[in-house]
Amino acid sequence: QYVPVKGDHVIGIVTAKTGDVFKLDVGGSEQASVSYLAFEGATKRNRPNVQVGDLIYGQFLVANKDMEPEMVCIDGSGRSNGMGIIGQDGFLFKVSLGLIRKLLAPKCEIIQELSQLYPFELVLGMNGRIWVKAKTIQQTLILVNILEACEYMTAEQRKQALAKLSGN
Amino acid sequence: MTAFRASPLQPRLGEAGSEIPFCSINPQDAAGDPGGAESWFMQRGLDSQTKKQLEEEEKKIISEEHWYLDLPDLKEKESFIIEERSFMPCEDLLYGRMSFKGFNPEVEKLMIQMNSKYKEEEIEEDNKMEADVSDEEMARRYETLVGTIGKKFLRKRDQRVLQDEDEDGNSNTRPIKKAKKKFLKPQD
Repeated sequence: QYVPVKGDHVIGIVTAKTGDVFKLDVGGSEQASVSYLAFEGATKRNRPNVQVGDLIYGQFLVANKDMEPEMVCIDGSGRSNGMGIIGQDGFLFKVSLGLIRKLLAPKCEIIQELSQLYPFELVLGMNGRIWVKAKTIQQTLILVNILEACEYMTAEQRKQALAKLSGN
Repeated sequence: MTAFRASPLQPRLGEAGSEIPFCSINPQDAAGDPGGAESWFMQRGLDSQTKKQLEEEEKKIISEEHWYLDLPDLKEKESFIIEERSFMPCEDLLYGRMSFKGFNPEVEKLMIQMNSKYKEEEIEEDNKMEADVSDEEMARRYETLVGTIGKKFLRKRDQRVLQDEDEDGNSNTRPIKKAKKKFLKPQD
């Protein structure tokens, strides 16, 4: 179970759009809220194009046990730095929090090995959610399977599996 | 005649906007009051001095009512334990968005930016933005700019001189003599 922490980058799913505020499902005990002004280049007239069911990558502005968590998609200086609505296509799946930490470690072998295979894009949320996008659906699904299985495979098994894939 | 004054703990009448004017039947008494400049019939409420006195008295009474501990101040011990709820600083985690083999070039740029922040501890970014206009062009512009604005402030005669200069191409010989036209005294 994920506990929202201030400053953490997470992937949220938009569940409701009420007036000026979107509700995001973050995998915690409560839904987080994002204001429409918390996106880069958003003004009262220029609203971000967010629909229910969209994926948003943002960081927590407020996250304590007394208040509803709030997220924003810009940093302190107003730049988005890669946060915001995650684009079309791709695949979202859940893994355990420990795996995310392993994957985000500075020298992660899994990620390095995967990056040798084929071009793809990856977004890791600290709430245990990963979004992957590759050129074909098959490649995307392969990546999903490897990442999910990585938790329980040893390094050798992983290398074997990848060798098979790159052979194919 | 004594004037009506409110006692400290009762609701103070005679505050701003009250209907009870501060008056005494004998105007001379009021004139002798400490707030001498104010005329007696315009004064509503109490003088500033008496107000201050009353406030001080009230504060004394209130602070005496407050309870306080006689215990000595406890020294705060410096704790060596800091509570940190996020994992980010603990393990120096990388940025969450990644792209490989050029799938998303913007994200790849971001990766370099964000990850370099952790490793090299705030590289001072080059303040030289990619200039639309190069430095040389700016220097040329300024040279001519100074000339054009300088012309604006020349007097008419000097402007004519400048035009002659442009036409001749020589800036030395004649125009200097022509420029200074002194006043010729009318011959008698």
